[in-house]
Amino acid sequence: MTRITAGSWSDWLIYFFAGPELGDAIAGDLREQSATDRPYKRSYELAFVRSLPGLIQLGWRHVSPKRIGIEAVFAALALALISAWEVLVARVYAWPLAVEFFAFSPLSITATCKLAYLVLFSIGMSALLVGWFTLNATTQPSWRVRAQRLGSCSIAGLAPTLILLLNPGPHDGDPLFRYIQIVSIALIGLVTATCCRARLKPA
Amino acid sequence: MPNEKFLGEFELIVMGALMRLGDAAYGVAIIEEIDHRTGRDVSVGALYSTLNRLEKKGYVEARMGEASAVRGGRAKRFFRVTRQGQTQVERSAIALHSMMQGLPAWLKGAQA
Repeated sequence: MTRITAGSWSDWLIYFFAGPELGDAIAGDLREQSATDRPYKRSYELAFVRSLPGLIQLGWRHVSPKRIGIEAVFAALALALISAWEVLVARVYAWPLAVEFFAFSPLSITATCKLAYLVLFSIGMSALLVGWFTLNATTQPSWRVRAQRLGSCSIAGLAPTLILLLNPGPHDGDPLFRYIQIVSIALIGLVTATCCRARLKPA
Repeated sequence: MPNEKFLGEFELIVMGALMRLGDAAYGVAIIEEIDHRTGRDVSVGALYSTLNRLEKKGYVEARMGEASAVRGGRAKRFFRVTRQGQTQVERSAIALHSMMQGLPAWLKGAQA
């Protein structure tokens, strides 16, 4: 397995689209092309920009329709579970729960509310993880793919929670928060699908 | 065989470059060979996209080579035309030649 040695944003994009082995060859070729002793010398930046359409084409060719389907189902599942849990449970119960336990809490009412929210959200995330492992058991991906999925799942849960913690208020149902959450989960799903494509068999 | 698709123009050019370069066919060398012979400035991304497609069709096979300082420590990827690929190049070249035959005299130079 080739080690990914991406040192710049352009390298990162190359590896992102082409995978580790092919990415190594492409990044090396772009560097070699810009070496001063080449008869057909090219500027690295220009050569990279010109290569982008080909790289994108290359990247998507690795993803089989089956895998796109599986990842899309996963992204939709994650989105549905997190949103459903947050809207139906955490948002409804976190505040009353916090008010109930405020008398025993050394924290302020807002902080207690957020703590209650975090606890409930963690339970929701645990439920999501059960679904995650079920999906893994069904599709039997590599451990690396499983780890990537776990990471994206955690980020999906962490990002909205952090936004919530940074924005004080008695209620957590801020519409902006909801939109940010939906977009972040969709992006995470997309990035996960693309990151996984190098390990997948061609369509 | 009759239903098998012919190689595209750029695919044929890439296959020709691979056959000319032999064991020394890797990204930069292929690009320079194409530029030298056709004057076509090919991007690395376009080349690898085509090579990847040819590899999937079974016309080309790849192996990883050595890394060097000028490449930032990254390995080369060498390509070789397979027997199936050679047959396909022959088919496409014969078809192309057949189509060019009998065309006006000003095209003769392009055929040479």
